[in-house]
Amino acid sequence: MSMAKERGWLIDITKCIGCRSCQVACKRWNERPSEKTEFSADWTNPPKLSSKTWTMVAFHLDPDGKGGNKWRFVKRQCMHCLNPPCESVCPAKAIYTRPDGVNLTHYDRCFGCHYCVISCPYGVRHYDLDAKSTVKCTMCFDRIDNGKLPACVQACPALVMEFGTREEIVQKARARAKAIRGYVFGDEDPRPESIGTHVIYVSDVPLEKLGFPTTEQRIPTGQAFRSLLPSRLTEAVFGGTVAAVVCFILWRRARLEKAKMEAVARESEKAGGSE
Amino acid sequence: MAAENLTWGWLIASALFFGGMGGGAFITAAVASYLTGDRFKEILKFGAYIGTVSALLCVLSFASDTPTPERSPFLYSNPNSMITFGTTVLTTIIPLGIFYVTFLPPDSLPWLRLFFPWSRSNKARNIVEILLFLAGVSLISYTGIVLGAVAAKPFWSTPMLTALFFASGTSTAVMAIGFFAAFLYPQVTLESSKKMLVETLHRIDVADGYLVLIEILAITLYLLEMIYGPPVAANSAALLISGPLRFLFWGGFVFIGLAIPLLLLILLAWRGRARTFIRFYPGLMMVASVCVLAGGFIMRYLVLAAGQLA
Repeated sequence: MSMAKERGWLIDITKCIGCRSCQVACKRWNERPSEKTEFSADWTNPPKLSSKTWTMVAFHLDPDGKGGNKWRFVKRQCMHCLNPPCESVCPAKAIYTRPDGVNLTHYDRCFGCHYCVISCPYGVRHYDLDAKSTVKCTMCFDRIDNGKLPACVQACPALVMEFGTREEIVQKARARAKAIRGYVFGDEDPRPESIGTHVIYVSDVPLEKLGFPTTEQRIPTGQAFRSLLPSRLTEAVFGGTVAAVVCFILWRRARLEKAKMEAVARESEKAGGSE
Repeated sequence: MAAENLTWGWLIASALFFGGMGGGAFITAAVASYLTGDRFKEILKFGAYIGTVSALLCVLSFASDTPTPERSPFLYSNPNSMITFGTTVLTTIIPLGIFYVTFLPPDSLPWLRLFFPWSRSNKARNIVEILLFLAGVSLISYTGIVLGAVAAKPFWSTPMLTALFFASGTSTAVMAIGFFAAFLYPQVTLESSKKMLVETLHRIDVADGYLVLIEILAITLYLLEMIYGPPVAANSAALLISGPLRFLFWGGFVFIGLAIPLLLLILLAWRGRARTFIRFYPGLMMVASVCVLAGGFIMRYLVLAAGQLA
């Protein structure tokens, strides 16, 4: 499938009213049970994504700079990364990405090592004891394959989300960000180690300020793995010190051996002299 | 401390701990054999036994953390995944370790050699030691790199973590060997054997003294790198140094895991300076060993917890 057919999903948080219709629609379509939650100061409910909650609206109340406050409602779900860290770290190849960019899981291959849960910069994957696998948003692949919109997109009364090809969604997101002097998240061009995603956000503040990961946290696993090659000052200091300790031990050992040899030579000389 | 929020908790910490100790034990045995031949046979024996048992415990801890261990054959599927690499290393090192044990049967069971005709060949043993050294380095490095490859957790994403785990893994292995050698001490009555055992214990004492010093350097540099690193990593470091994990860090790791054993090892080394190798204090050695082992486990748990809670 060509790049142009990759799915794109725009979420414009400046339009969100925080009604949580998307949460309910996701629960109903994907048959996710409800879960016991706790009252929290910022009204986010449930407080985070879980194996039972695949999408949620995070509430942020921030100063607006004019002496008042401003609500921002951020819908969270799987970002369907271009280079998903969860897929590259999975030892069982239980995670795969379809040619249209939808990231899915073979439930019957998941070993349960939780490496994908740990590696996801968005905190999206969670282990489900009933499915015996990690689970998360599937972009409602069973709906979109039949020409329908994902349940959350369909249910949104404020038209916060748009669904289409990634190419056109990126263009729309950039145009919208330009119009509101805002920011786009996830629109990086597709290439082997791109940090881009199939879900593209538009916001009036940088998404990192709304709990999204930093650029360093989003780098694909291959690149992260290569960055482990020692190149920094601390590694050089450590390596140098260890080398110095080893050299000292070897030098001391050689010196002791030499002293022992000399002592033996002196003993034998003495013995020879006395004869 | 919100331990229930940890995706990777104490079971993975013990997998990392036993992996590090297993790799370290094989490295110690191989290096001791290379440097001194058969002179310190106890180090080779305990290295072989501890290495094999630790590698098995590493697998057991890892498998206990999942409700579906029967799916373990799938773990070899993705060569790009560090867990596939680790699983392959463990699958190699366990049979190799068991094979190595056949070269070094316990003194009380000398007839076991009859079942293993190859066990008299020093050349064969040396080849196995070279292979175990390479596998040991791979296993001990794996325990650091499996965390280091996770970009989402900047607290783990540094080669210094592998260096720290390397120092700690070899240190715990050397001290585990020291524990069993010290345990043997009161049972040895023959004067020449006792003298040999005391010399062995002194070597272990000095070697681990250096290893603990290297570990102190590694943890200092690692935390400095994190404190001055990305904000998320600095938050993790703050959890350890002054946050909710501080009691476990300063009390459990720094005091029990580093300070006490270092003092005991210096004391033991100082007592042995006369090089008479007549007396030793096995009790002190055993206390130092238990402290180093506890410190090694606590350190891994703290690294896991701080990386996930920030």
